[in-house]
Amino acid sequence: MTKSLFQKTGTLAAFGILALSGLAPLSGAVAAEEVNLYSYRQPFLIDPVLERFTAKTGIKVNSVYVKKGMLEKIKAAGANNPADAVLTVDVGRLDELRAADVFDPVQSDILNANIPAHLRHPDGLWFALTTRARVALVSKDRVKPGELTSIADLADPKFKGRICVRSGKHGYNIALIASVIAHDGEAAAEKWLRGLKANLARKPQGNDRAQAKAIYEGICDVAISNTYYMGLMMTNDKKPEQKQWAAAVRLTYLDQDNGRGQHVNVSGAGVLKGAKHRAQAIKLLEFLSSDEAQRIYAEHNHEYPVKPGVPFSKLVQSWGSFKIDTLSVQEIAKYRPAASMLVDKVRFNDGPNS
Amino acid sequence: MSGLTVRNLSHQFDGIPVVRDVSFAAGAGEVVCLLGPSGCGKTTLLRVAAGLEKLQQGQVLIDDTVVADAARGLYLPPEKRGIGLMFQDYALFPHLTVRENIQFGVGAATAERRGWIERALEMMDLTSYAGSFPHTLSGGQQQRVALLRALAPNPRALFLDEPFSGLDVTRRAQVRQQTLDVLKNAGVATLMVTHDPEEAMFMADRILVMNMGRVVQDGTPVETYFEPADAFVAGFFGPINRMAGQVAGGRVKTSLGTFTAGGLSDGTRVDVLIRPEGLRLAPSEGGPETPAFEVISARPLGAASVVSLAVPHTNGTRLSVEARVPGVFLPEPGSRVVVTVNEGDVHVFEAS
Amino acid sequence: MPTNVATPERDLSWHDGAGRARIDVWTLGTIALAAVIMVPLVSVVVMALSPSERIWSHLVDTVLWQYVRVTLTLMIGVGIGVTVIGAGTAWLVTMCRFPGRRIFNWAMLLPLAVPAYVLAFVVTDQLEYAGSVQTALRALFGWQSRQDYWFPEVRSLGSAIVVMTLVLYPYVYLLARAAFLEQSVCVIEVSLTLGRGPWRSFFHVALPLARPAIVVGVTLALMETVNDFGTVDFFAVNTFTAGIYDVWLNMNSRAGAAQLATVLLLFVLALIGAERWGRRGQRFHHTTTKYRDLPRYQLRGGRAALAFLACLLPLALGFILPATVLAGYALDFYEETLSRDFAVHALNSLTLSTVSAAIAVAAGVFMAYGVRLSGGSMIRSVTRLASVGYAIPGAVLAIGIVFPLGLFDNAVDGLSRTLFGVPTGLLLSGTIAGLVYGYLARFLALSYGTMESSLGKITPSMDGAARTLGHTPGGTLRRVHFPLMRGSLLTAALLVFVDCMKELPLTLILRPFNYDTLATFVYQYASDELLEESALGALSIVGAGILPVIMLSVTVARSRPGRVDNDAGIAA
Repeated sequence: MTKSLFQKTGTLAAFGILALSGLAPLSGAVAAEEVNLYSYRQPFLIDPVLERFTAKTGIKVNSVYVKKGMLEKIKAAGANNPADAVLTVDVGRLDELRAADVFDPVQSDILNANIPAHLRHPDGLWFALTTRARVALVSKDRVKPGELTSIADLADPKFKGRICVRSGKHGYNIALIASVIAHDGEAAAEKWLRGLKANLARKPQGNDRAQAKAIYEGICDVAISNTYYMGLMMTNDKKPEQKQWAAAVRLTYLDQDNGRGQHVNVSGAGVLKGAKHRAQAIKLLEFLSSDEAQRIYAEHNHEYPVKPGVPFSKLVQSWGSFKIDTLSVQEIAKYRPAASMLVDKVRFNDGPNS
Repeated sequence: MSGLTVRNLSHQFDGIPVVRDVSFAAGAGEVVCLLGPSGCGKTTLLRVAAGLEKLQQGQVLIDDTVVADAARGLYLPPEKRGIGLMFQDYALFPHLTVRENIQFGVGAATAERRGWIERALEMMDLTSYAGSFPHTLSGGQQQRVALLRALAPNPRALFLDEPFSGLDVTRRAQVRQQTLDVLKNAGVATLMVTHDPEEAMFMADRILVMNMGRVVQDGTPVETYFEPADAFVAGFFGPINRMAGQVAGGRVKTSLGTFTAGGLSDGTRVDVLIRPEGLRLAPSEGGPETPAFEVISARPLGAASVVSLAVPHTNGTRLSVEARVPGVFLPEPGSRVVVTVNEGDVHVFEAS
Repeated sequence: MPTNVATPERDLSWHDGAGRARIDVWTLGTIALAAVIMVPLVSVVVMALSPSERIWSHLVDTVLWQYVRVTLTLMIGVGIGVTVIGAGTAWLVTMCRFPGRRIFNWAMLLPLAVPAYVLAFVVTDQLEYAGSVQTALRALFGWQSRQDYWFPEVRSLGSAIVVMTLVLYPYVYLLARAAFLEQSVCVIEVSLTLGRGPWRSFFHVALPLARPAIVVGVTLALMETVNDFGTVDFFAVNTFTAGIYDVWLNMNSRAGAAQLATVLLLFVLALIGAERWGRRGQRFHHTTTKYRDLPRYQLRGGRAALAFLACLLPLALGFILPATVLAGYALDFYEETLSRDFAVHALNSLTLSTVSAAIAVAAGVFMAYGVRLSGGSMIRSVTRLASVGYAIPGAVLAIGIVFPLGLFDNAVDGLSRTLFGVPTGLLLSGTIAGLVYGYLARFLALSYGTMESSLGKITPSMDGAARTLGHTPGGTLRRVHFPLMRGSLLTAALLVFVDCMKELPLTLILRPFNYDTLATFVYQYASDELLEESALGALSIVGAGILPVIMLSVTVARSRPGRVDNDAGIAA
């Protein structure tokens, strides 16, 4: 008995190591046609596009979904960094990677043609692939059209106790607050954020969909959300209750007409320094900016394609067109740490009653 | 010599000396007892000699082989010493049967050792329990299993740590005899730790009496009992009557009589120690020539009787003195008895 | 033995070398292992040495005290919760007879397999406005809308305490039950004869005797509590760990995050130190070799019903509810989420967790035994320090691993290039080996803690007996301690296994390309609060944890020394 347990453990460990070494990828082996990708995007969102790329070019995409610690992983590997390209969902991460000097400039006629200049880094360090607008969702019943038109309105006392939002520390909200700082300065932004906090119906929580749900449930009248969540809810056949949530709200672009334009964020990509498959990585980026890939983004995830001429999805078109805040996303990204500190300072996440 | 030799062994814990410069030897087939009160260092000495504690100073030899030498930084782990050790709590392995416990140290058992184990089980009346687990045995049986386990590998030296303390008194005598038989049969050098003088006298060929880390006397049971090296040794072997006095003319005068001072110079303040069985009592016939003392109490112990007497002390106080006399002798409390003292039972030491 | 003794001289020189080397293998091995496992911690501390500019003044001015207050409240709440539920139910199932006891005996462990953030989802799902509870209340009282009644905030500190208590109490249950089973019944009987009833005997004898084991369980639960991010993020609770991530990712200050993590580490160390100091001088070896069947109090009527409920409630909330909800969702959504790679993910999870568990247990045993052999307090402190990686938020620990691994790989690569002209690339970074190392650094506390407490219960006389009978320390470990610790070995293996199955942040960061586990598969949905889509994967994690939990339970129940008890396990 005693012996067998000891031996079993040993055998098991030996077997496991063998099994693992069999499964482990052959690091360092360079196949001609492949590209290694670090992605902030969930596999279930990005895999269909990557599969199309492989089908079309024969280039295999090795991907790994990393969120926290991607930059550290790249830096630690140094010259041996295996990743060729990075895919992000937020300009904050793009800018962080740029600031850390891990991107390699890319000059590609295709990318330059497909992506408008204000949506890519001037030196080709990164390229936006989609834009995503952070808008207001308002109750169809309880908020009249025209009652809320701007970011500033969110701090108007007439909305006291009527606003729902996810955590102030979430990347999307940090970007939004950073844009307010970029436009109006820190002091004004603080005043605005305090006003918004006072207007909250509850402690910031949940994801963007949960805010629409809260409007449906009557907990609040106004929510802040990315547009594609609205699209995903409206088309969710599997969870029909989400269609009800979406039906209860009206999507409202902010700061139109005389305002500074709707705040947008971007998802994007860049090629890393020392990429072993640089050519393939550029091909991948070019594919992601092509009509085909851009249409997949538009149709499946209801994001805004960056390539001019690629149509919005029908649903997105139904929300009308809008004017975009022209302040560069990179400029906004600079204020992210300040935005995060502001959230702490006004104790935004403690909710309205603190 | 064969057996166990310890030279100049000292040991300390956190700077506090526990064993001080102890040397002794136990030859093959010899049983040496370390006797002393709790905390005298006897168990530490045993653990260091066995190798369970790392030697700090001195030398340990087993069968003429140095197994530990502090000066040379030599330390042989216990499993390399060819020794046996029996713990106070027996430390039987609860997951092994009696036979498995005993075979534990034998390794690839030779036919000879297997035969020994079977004979030993037989001799210890354990054959029918060979397949049982230790917790199903009585204390005495566990003790015997532990002893056989320690002896099974045919060790060159055997260490016993309070081997009988877990047993009840009636069982003890029988187990002691059995143990002694086994030890003598095995012809192994044995070092046994005990705090019970009677046990030490029964088991030992030699007794090392320890006090505060030192060996204060090394001798046969008879020597240590009848010729104690100091008042501590004399007192350790049982109740003893103690009286103060001063040497005058080579003798000491006490209430119980005047005794030889054993070469101590005149004027020396001394303690006079007399074992209870050194007093002989007789009913007083009222004559004035011999002093009679008042009986405080008298109790029968079976084979002997214990009588307490009130003895006037030099400064007018009264001293309680105890006598142990053979058979039944139970004078009434308040009656008076005449006391004679056997000079051989009187020990005179310089007062400490 | 006398037969192999040659001349004294020869004998002596041979002894000299062997005698010393033997001691050193264990001591040096233990220190080396501890050093290797401590590398990530050191790396975090090194990161913390870089300046973090205005982070601290900002935190002190704003949210630092909130982090501290919330974290302490969470720890106290979870600490009390897991102790009461874990030790209480362990006592009930080991010492009492009541309906369902045999099932509870193993079933109480099941919530261990449920990831905390999954339970958080499910609980919120049920309790929020559209959930079953409020819907039922509205139907019952005829309320129309949210404005008609008051309902407590679901996403709150209180919920976080409840949820974490429910999934973490099995740590305490497991260790406390093992301790109660191993306790000599004599001490309990002594207590009873001294006029203390069963309850007072529990509080005055059984509980204090089981204290080292319970403390290990509570320590593990609390370390997991402080390192958690998923659950507190979901409940919108601002803990220290939430702050660490915020400073790192939103304020772009890795140094600041490392400094906060170091503070957290020191706090946990101080806590452990305080507890050790609190029971200094006490000994918990078994004092007797006499074991008998545990006398079980037969509970009847109301008491039996109470005991039944006391066990059922945590089990129902911590396991039955989430498993049922997940099963429902998994059935509805398997078409969307059952990809062709699902079996591969599951196989990856199982292999990885099994290997990591085996290695972590081996390392834990080696170190715990090395400490026992050397007996030094220095080496004890070092090993304990090595095992506090568990208290560090996973992603921060991962960063502490990524950098040294990169350094090592690049150094080897550079050396190989200069010497042989052959690049070696990344040997450990982004490989399974690197990931297993990460798990070892993270989960050593589970195996080491369990092993240390288990070894502590074996009287040193056993070691002495085996050593004087000619067995080396290694042989003693194998032939005496392993059999006596069989239950604890399996306990440690199970804890590591289940935690590896659930582990997320390290896996995300350290894994190779194209390598998914069930946990990372679940996370792509869970990160966006897509409960339904994550259900299949989550259920698989839970499912994979059940079988070993049941196996373990049977083994532990059987491992009582000198057991004649035949109704402790489910198999009987």
